[in-house]
Order: sequence, then C-alpha cells, then structure tokens
Amino acid sequence: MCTMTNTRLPDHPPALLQTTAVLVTLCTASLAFSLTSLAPPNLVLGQEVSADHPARVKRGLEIFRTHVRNLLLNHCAECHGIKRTEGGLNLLTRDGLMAGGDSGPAVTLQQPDLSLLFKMVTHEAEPFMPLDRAQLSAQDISLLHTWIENEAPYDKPLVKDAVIPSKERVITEKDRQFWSLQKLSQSPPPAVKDRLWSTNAADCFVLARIEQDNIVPVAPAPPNQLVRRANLDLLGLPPSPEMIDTFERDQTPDAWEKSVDRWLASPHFGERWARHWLDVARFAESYGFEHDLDNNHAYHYRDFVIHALNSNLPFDDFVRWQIAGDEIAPDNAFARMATGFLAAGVHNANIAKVGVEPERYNELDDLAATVGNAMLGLSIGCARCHDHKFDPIRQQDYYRFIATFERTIRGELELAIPTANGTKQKVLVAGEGLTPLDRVYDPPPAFYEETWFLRRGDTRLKTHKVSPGFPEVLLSNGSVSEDWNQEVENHNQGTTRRRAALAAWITDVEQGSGALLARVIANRLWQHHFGQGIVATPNDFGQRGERPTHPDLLEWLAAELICSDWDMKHLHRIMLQSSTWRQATLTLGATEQNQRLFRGHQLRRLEAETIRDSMLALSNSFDRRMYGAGTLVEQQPRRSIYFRVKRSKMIPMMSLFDAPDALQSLGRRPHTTVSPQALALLNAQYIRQLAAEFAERLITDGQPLPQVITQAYRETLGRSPTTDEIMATQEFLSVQLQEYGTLQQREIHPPTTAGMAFWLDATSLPSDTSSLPQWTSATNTRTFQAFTDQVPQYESHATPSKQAAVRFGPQPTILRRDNDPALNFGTSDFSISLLFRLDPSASDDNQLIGKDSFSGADSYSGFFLQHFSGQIRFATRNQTPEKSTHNYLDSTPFVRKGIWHRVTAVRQDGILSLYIEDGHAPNGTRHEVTPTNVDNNVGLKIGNMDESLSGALHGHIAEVMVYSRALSPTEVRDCHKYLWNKYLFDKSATPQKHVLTDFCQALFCLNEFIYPQ
Amino acid sequence: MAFYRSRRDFLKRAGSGCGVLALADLLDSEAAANIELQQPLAPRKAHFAPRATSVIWLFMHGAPSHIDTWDYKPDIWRRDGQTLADFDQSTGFFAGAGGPIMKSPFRFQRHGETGTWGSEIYPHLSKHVDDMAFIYSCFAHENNHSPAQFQMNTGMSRMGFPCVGSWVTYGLGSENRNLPGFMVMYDSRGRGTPKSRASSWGAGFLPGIFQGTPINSSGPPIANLASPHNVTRRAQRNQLDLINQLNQKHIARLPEEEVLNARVASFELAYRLQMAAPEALDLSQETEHTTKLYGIDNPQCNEFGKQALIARRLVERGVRFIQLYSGGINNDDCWDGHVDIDGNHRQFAGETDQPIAALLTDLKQRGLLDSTLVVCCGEFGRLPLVQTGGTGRDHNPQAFTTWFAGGGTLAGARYGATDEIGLKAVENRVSVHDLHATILDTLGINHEQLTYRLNGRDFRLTDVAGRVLKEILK
Repeated sequence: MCTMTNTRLPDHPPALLQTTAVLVTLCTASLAFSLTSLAPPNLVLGQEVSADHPARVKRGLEIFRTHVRNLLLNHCAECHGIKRTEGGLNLLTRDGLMAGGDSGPAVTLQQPDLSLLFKMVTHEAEPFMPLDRAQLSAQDISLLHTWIENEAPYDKPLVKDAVIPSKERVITEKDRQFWSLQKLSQSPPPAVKDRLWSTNAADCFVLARIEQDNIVPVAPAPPNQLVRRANLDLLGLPPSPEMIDTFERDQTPDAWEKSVDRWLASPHFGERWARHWLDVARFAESYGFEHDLDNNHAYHYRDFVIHALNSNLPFDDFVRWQIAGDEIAPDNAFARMATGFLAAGVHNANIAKVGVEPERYNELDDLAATVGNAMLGLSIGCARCHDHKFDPIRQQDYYRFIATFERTIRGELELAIPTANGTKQKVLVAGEGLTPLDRVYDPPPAFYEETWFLRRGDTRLKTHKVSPGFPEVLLSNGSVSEDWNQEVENHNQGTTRRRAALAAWITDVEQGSGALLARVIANRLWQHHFGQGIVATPNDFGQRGERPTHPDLLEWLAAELICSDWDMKHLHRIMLQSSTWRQATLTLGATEQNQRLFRGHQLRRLEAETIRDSMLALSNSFDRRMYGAGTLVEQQPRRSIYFRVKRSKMIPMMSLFDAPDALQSLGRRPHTTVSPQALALLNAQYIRQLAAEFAERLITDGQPLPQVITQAYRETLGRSPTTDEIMATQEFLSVQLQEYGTLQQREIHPPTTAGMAFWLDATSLPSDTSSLPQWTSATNTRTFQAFTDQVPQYESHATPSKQAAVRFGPQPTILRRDNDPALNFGTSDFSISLLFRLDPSASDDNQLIGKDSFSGADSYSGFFLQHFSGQIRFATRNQTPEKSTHNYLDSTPFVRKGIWHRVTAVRQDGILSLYIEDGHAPNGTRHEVTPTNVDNNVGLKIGNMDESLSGALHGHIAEVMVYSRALSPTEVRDCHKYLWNKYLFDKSATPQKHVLTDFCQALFCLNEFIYPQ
Repeated sequence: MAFYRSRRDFLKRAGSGCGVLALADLLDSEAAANIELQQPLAPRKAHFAPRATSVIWLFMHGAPSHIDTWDYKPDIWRRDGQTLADFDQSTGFFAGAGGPIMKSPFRFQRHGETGTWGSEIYPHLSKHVDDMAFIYSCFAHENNHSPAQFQMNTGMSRMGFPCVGSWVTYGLGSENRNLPGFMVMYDSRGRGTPKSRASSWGAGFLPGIFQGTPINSSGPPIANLASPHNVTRRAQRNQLDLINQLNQKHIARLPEEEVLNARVASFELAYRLQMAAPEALDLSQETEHTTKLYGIDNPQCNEFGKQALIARRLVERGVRFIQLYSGGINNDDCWDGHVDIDGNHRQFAGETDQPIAALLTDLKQRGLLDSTLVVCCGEFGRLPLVQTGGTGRDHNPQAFTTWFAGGGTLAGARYGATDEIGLKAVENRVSVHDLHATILDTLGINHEQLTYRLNGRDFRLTDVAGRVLKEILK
C-alpha cells in the first residue's frame, strides 16, 4: 500500500524532519486523507530514520486511537479546525498538526517537552490551552506526552472529509461575482404602472419597487418644506423667508429645476458637502498622540475639497489627485493640495528607536484602510494580520497595497494658492522625495525602501519582500497590477509613480476598480440626500456589509456618473429633481419597510455643523468669508467647516452632536439624543448670544409683536406659526416679562482698592483727550510713558455702553513704567484684571501686558499676558543664558476679534489662575515649577513686551487693575461684573428684548428646528 | 415599552447602521433599542451575574516603578552598580541611556497577614495589602507614554479606539439616569491632562455619549451646567414648558417618530442634571471624619483626596465607571521619574497614598467594596537600571505591577512574577488584554462577545486576545 513517491506521503510521521519548506510543499500536495500503511518508510527524502521508528509509530497510533483522538476532538478541534482555525492551527489532520500555526510548529517530534502544543497545555507557554477552560487532567497530559514522543501519528483525520484550507487563499470566479465587485451591469429603467409620477429614470427604479408592494408613493411635500429641506441639504443653512416666497410664487414648470441649479451653484454648496467627504477622509490638522502637534498648513486640503465640489471637478480627477496629484499634475496647485488626503491621518512625532518601524507600518495601514474605506468601501485594513476573514482580500494583497505608499511621506511645499488669490503659502502635502516633517524626538528614517510581508502584522515576523500591487479580486480578465504602470503619463520626475498607477487602476472602469468606485460614491450621495444609502453600510461593500435595496438603481446611478465623465452635480441634480426626493414626510406608517422603499421623506436630525451654522446664520454676526486657516474658538463667526480640527481639542459642541473624532474613515455618523446636547442649547453662553443677536435683528424693524413672532417662525422653521402657536408664544412672553419684572438699571460697584498698585481707567481721562503720550493711574500718580513713536489714542465711545477706551496699534504701541517699587512683586502674590478688545484685523499674536523682555536683558524673570490664536496665555518665567524655566497657563480658546473680553490673572502661593468673562471659576490653574521672581529688572509694559516689537497689541484697552496681592474668586467675579456693567451692558436692552431672546432660544431647541421635514 | 416595532426596525434606524447589532444580539432587544436614540445609558443586563457593578480605576500616570513600589527585588541591592551585560539598550525610551543596575532608594517591609512586600512610600496603603490582589507580571508593548496609555485604556496602542469605560457603559449603561455613566477626574493642580490627552477617555468609534465626562476641578463641574447670565431658574422652567408645548404640537403631526419623544425627555433630564451633578460633587455633605480620612486637610494630598472621595460618592449614586489620574502631562509633573526616582515617587506617592487607602477603608465600611472593582496601575513599569545622567529610571514595557481590590477579586491573591531584578515579567505573564478581559469579567461581560461593527469589522476591547485571570477572582 505504501509506495513512496514525491507526491504522496503517508499520513504519518516523516521521521526526523521538522516542518521544512520542502515538507510543507509536499504535505500540501499529498493526499492527506488516504489511509496509509502502518508500516513506516525507512527513508524519507533521503534521511535516515531510527530503527525503532516503526515500533514507536505503532505505539503512537494505539494511543491516538484509544485516547488522543477523543482528547483532541473534545478539547481542541472546535477552535482548531472544526469551527475556526484559531492561531492558524488546524488539528484535524496530521498535516495540519505538522504545519503548525502562526506561532510556529505545534510539535517537535520525539521531544514533547519542547513542543509548543505541549507547553501550552501544561501552562508553560501562553496562551494556556484549552483557552479559558480547565487544564487537562494529569493523565491526559501524560498521554499527549507519550503520543508526541512516539511520532504523533494519526490513523485518519479527526473528522470525515476534513480539508486543510490552503494557507494562501485563492481568488475564485465566485469571489469576483460578489455583487459589488462585478463589472457594471446596465439594466434599463423598469416599466411602471403610474407613468406620470416619475420625473426621471431614478424614480422608475424606486416606483417599480413600491408598486411591487401594491402601494403608491407619497404626495410631494409643500413648497415651503421643500425649499427648507433642500437649502439645508445642499447648503447646510436655513432659507430666507423671501426665498420661500419667491419659490411659492413661481408658477413656471421648471421652477424646481431652476432652484436646484441655483443651490448647486452657490459657494455654500461646497462648504456643506465638503464636510461629508472630510468625515470619510478622517481629516484633521494635528497629528494626535502625546504632543498632538499642529500642522498649520493642513487646512488647504479642506479648501481643495470645498473648491473641487463647487467647481464640479470630475470625481475621477477628485480621487486621482488625492492619491497622486503630485505625480499626475505636479504643476497644478490644487492637485498638490489634494494630496493632503494622504497626510491627514495621525502621525506619531515622539517615538523611541524600536518604535520607528512599527509606526511606519501603522502609517501605511492608515493609508490602506482609508483609501479602502473611503474610495472602495472595502475593509482592506482587515487583511493586515491574516487574510480577510470575509472578503476576498488576502494578506498578500494588503502588503502589496501598502507597498504602493512605501516612499510616500508628508512634507510641506510653498505653492501659489488658487483659493487665496494665488499668494504663495506653505501647504501640507504628501509625496515622495519631500523633506520629512520634524519629530519631537529621535528623527527616524521617514520611510523604508522596502515593504515586507509581516506575519500577524508584526514587524519582527518578516517573511518576504513585496512589490506594489492591487487586490487581485479587483483585477479583471487576467490583468495584473503592473498593467497600470504604463498608463501613467505626465510624470513628475523622481517619483516611483506607484500612486499614479493606483490612481489609474482605481478609476479604471474596465479593468480596474472604477465600477466599485462609482458605486461607492453614488451611494454616498444618495445616503446624504435620502437619509439612508441604497447600501446601508457606506464604508463596507463587502460580505458583512448590507446588500443594496435597489441594486439596479445603484448600477444605473454609477453608470450615469461614469457616462457623464464623473459629473457629480449631474448626480445631485438627478437625486434632487426626482419625485422620490420631493415626497412629503410620512405622518403615518413611517415604518422600516417604507424607508427601505424610499417611500416618503425620512425624518432625520441635522448634523452638528448645520445646527450651529443655522443658528449663526440667523444671528447678525454670520461671517460668510470662505477658505483660509481655521480657528479653535467656538464663538467664531464663520461656518463650522472653518473650525480647526485639532485631535486633542475637538470643538465641544461639534463632538456633542456626533461630529467624528477624525481618526478613522467614517461613512455614516451616529445620531445620538442625549441630555448634554440639551444642556448646551439651554445654557451655553455662545448659543444664548446667538439667540440674543437673532432677537435683536427681529426687533430692529420696530414691527408689532405678532409680526415679530411670525417672522421668527418663518426664519427658523420656514413656515408661519399657527394661531395656537402665536397664542402660546404671546402667553409665554407675558409670563416671562412678569418673571423678570423690569430689568433694573445696573448699579456699578467699583472694584476693591485694597492692595491695588495702580488702576488705569479710560473713563477717568478728560473727554477732550486725543492721543496719550502718557497714561496716569486714576488712584495715584503712577504714570506710564509712551515708549514708541506710535502713541495710544483715546476714543470716547468705544465700548458697547458707549464708554471710553484707549486704542493701541496698528503700529507697535507701548506704554511703560520702570523701577516702581510697588510693581516689584518678587515671588509673592499679584493680580491683574483688564478689559480689552482686539481689532478685527489684528494678527493672531497680541501681547497685552507684562514684565518680560525678549532682547533687553540676558537674564531676567517676569510675567506676561498674551493673546494667541484665540487663547490667553498667562506666563511667568525665568530666563538666563543657560536655562529658561517657564510656567505657561493657557485658557481655552475664547477670544473673538472685534469683541470685548474680560480677563484676570492671579498668582497666589505659586499657583497661577486665569479667569475669563463672567469669571465664575478659574478657567485654568497651574503650579509654578519653581518660584518665579517678578522683580523690576525689566519695566512693566502695556501693548508689547518684545523690544523687537513683534506681536504688538492691535486693539483697545479700557481698564487695567494691578494688585500686589491675590484677588479672591469672589473679588474677581465682582471685578468682572463691574467691568460688564460699566462697559458692556447695553443700556438700550429692554425687558422685551430679553424675553424675546428666551423665545428665540426656545425656537433653536425645537424638534422641528433640527428635524426638518 | 418598546420604542420600535421591531428590533430590525431599530437597527435600520440607529445612526450607526449595524453598529449596535452585536449588542442587540446579546442583550434583550428592548434594552438594545434604548441604546442609541432613547436612553443610551439605561441599565442593561450583563452576560452573566456580575461580581462588580462599578469600577474605580486609579491610573498612576507616567508609569510608577514596580520595583520601587510593590515588586520587591533584593537582587537590585545585591547587584547595585553592576552592569547588566546582555541588556537590550532599545528597551527604554532613551536608547543607550541604560546605566548599571540601581537599587531602590526606598526601604521595603512585609505587611499584613499575607506578608506582602511594600515600599516605605506607601505607609497608608500598605495597611490594606490583605484586601488587594497583586499581579506582578504585567507587560505592555509600547515604550512611550501616549501609545502605552492608549493601549492601557483601549487595548490598542494606536489612536481611535474606545476606552474600557466606554465599552463598559456601551455594554451595561449606567444605574444613574441623572449623571453620565463614565466620569473622569484628572490632575486638579493645573498640571494638565494625561499625556494621551482627551483620548484617554474617548469613545473612539462608539457613539459619543459613551465617552468619559471629565469633571472640572472647580467651578461648574460639567460643561454647560450653569444657566446663562440673567436667566432665573423659574424663567428657564417657563422656557422649557414652551419648548415642550410646541414640541407636543409637532409630535402630534408626526406621532410615529419616537426619536422626537426621546428628545423631549432629554431636555427634562438636562434640567434635572443641573441639580444632580452639583449634589454628587458637593463634599460639604461629608463629615469631618471622612474628609480627614481622605487627607483633604493635608496640602500634599488634598486634591487627589477630594477626587477619591468624589469617586466614592459617584459609585454610591450608580455611576458605572470612574477613572482618576494621578499626575499631569509633563515628565516632572507625573510618575515619569527619569531623573530622580526618589524625589519623584515620594512626591506622587505622597499625593495618592492616603487618599487611596482612605477610599479602600471607606468603600469597605460602607459595604461597597464587594460591588466596586478598584484597579490601580500605570501604563508600564520602569527599568531596574539607572538612566544615565541622573538617579532616575527609564521606561520598561516588559514588566509592571497592577493591583485590584474589591469587585469580586480575591483579597490577598498574588499572581505572576518578574525575573530576579524585575526587568521582565517571566512567570504567568499578563497582557493588557488579559487585564481588560478580567475587568469585563467582574462586570459580568464576556469580553469575546462585547463587539461593535465598524467598516466591516467586529471590534472588541480585547482585539483577538485576552484571558480572564480566574486566579485572582473569588
């Protein structure tokens, strides 16, 4: 029975041979299940076997039949062969046993004590086996020991017909036939019974499916609802009442078509829809990890996306440029900006030497995962440690895919920015041959010149080098990855053009993955317009994703996109103009089935950005300027897309309403409903401020109350109030009026003067003052002298309550007082309060007050208060030529240019505290590392500390109070109240305006406001 | 009451698509239906009977040295000053800065009936060793703080994954409807956040409601808790009544949209939260005896003492998961004793020893220790060698000590061991996944079954690993 051939091995031990490459090959080829002779061969592959080999095999087989077989079946086989192959180990056959698993060979023949399997069951090695179950009995262990000693033979596989899956998954025709991986199939729009309902072909697909259930679509929504819905959907802003009126009056047959075109032509369209793509692109402007370093030039990618969507850049170019703009169109600044896509992920800037290589593979993984999810709806990243468990993506495919990005790194380039009138600016890009960005510690190689296949994704388990390539299942008709190398034209010399090849493949509809690319983006657009995608899992078009509810519709949309030369606005137009989109919200029968049929409009909550932008648009401070650097100041007046995205400082209100954390591609946001959202809408000072501004705008016209109420409803909800609602509102307003009584004229209580060193008060200056070569304290005669040519200017009605203030800048303007013993604080306590305002055109760096010097002395110590990027920094520091110790306390970002702000800095017992605005509690505190001497080595200056004159204040200061002691929290609060009442309280505010603010804020809180119909 | 006509219906409508599918399969469908839209924090049934219902996690941030705290290694005295011949200089963060073996500057002594070794820097805590379960053989993978902290908090050393507290509240909800289920307190001396910043309590890809809520150390404890300037409580109640009234008219037009009702409820809850949160944090309700126990009269440990006491108050009120950080973001401001292990560890032990001991005493005497799991660890350990240029120690991911107390852990259990100088965990090695699996187990959660699907993959806290440390459980 046993004939030794090279293709057929007995299913029992080849003696003395461990798992060598040769053996593995032979085992795979062998007929593993043929029951073979018990008589062992004397020679296997030319190696000697010991004389007692046959006897030992015989003994082993006996133990196997009587004990080990059942033992393996009962304790091991379920996870190692029957249900799963955990750890890559399949124990069903001896071949599997000998092949071992991810951790190496399972047994070392004749040497049970060295065998991994044995070590794990004896709990000598981890993981202990059987996993999470009791240890095997001593008898079982001893039998296993003897069995391995005796060549660990099997008489037959543990279960009938066991098949050891090939280690390398083979991509089959069946894999290619999975719905999303097929070529585009074109079926004509189906016949429908109701021939009048459909506006376009997309409707026919939807209607045919609805008619299958013997039901009819929902009637169109009323015009005002349609306009509100579309304005929010396409622009992310509420429509003006006039816009609704105009549309309602327009009786021309193509009124809707014209409106859709107008929306699509609005620059706000790109600002709204860019946000959807930025979620998918995990876009942020900082690198995460401990230092979360900012990249101040990353926002150009966001501007690229806005501009690309507004200018209707064909989607294939949109994708190509993001992957390889530098290689495809090196002279096009937009194409370069687009590569910010590759640079937007996290980047660890503080790595120990041993961490460099794993970190590089993590970065490549981020690229593979993001490109996979964002563009192809495939979880390519799941094949990092093993073949994909569900989709036909092999580990080999994964490593070839990341090899595409092998030499791609982040860098910065100076480019003429089209969205900034062609001015030259630094831009964060990705590409090859760039100067790598600095790291905080230990600059490592930015990339490695080869990419390895890593067993279990572990850089210590390298098996072989790989060349760049694409997932085989997405290569059609015998194509190979290398086919796309030739297709790359317009080369940017000096790069490998691997990404250009990827860009060509990914958009290749015939041979590459272009069809999938089109399906995925068409589905994303549908999802955002209809509340649910045709495929409900937009980032997963694989086995575990949902199947399309309307496969033919998706095919048709994808084909429309491709045939229109990837014209995105064409698809938007199809969707918006469809009768499907224009259906009314179902008031009854809002069932899952109807949603799956796209029958009726699906009610859904506005996204975080749209909620905020809507309130902002209704206030009177909305700033419509586009593009440019963003900010972390939550109160900023521009649209939310212009928030800077810093991974460690996400804007609280955005996170609260489910904006993503920008760490992984996100295709669909959750919509949570939680009480902290309600708290923000009810209590956040900023939202209250927007409501007040909205109220102010409403009553400017001096209309009678019922009209004001009607106007408020029209602006927020896009409709007039019902009689009931008017009555309820009027009732509320009168109850609120009673509650508040008449707002009392504010009494102004001056702040404490105990321990006050000086007090500069603009209102105590003579009203005929113009320029101020010096400013003298009102309480004593301490005088601050102008130090520069530019002299501060007096303005008599500068603040909201029409009080005086002193203007600094735009040229550096400094007031200075030297050698005043009262200002020598040493290491003891002091406090400084001030009221200031930055000019709207001020830079992002404004020094307010301090004793500090950047160039005047080699050694000094002092303090300063400085504004930078919306934050106030209170610093004390000690500088010597050898060493600098500093204590920086930064506030949360809150400073808005053009707005008055109150701030108090206190040092008490070496603890720094900052109070801002109402000052209920310190905004932040910090212990000094060592006591910092604030002596008279340098003078006290207002307006600028730096004698190089950079970062000078451009703005106003109305009052400065300096104390040689620490103010208590209550004193700070009183001081801030004093400043508010004196300078900021709007005397023209009436109780009516106050209660109208309450009402406007209530409108912001309504379900109808954030769930448009 | 079921808010949806079918579980399927809920799943289709839940914002994250199939994200909650796995959970819904495990827990009963009504509870699952509450997760995303209605009451994401409503209490849900565990997989099996839990030992613990709350967790207090004391995170000694910056990485305490195991061999200077609990893992007594006489050999580092014996071999003090000797060069460790085969030491891999890339083990620590500063490659090449590993000097000779350095003895601990602290005296060690046996404590309790268990005779547990402890360093002199824990005079209070060492009285509790018989209540604690020590794991001496923990190891991590990363040798720098933020990735290691990500790993300790999320199981993964990369950013973007949910924290243990997020997983737990996602799985179990919270017992208190008026407070967040996962609350975090970090340094209140103004030394900043942990090095992994807000990611330390991030929900990763889970819905944002499952992220930890940091409690401000002064002023309004939670964002937006105080009413706006000039709005009286009565005026706000009127405002809320108007909102409700108008919302009811809207709901009458769309009676089947349950999310609209849920949103009405969220406003009422917000109104109540304004009272509940300050009450929970109000230490003036505690006796002087208690505040003294926690060392609130001691300037060195008063800040951590207050936080430890708040933690107990939160547990009493049914908050599911509480995390406390010792130390701030800079090396000198946390347990990161690169330069001077003596000064550094004395300072931070001084800040935490009495408060943690008080917490154990207090929980025990109130009968809360059995149902509250207390976890104490850093993100890794430190090398038994001196870091050249000072008297400190560099990072050591190969070994560190974690201790548990209460929550069904085995008082007095001692598990695993490091080698003779504490360089590597060698006996019964315990990974971070194992720690996580064990924590989930005490809460009645099977760590292999708590999953969330994202972009086609079912994610777990323990990834593809994790072993419950049955040896340290009752």
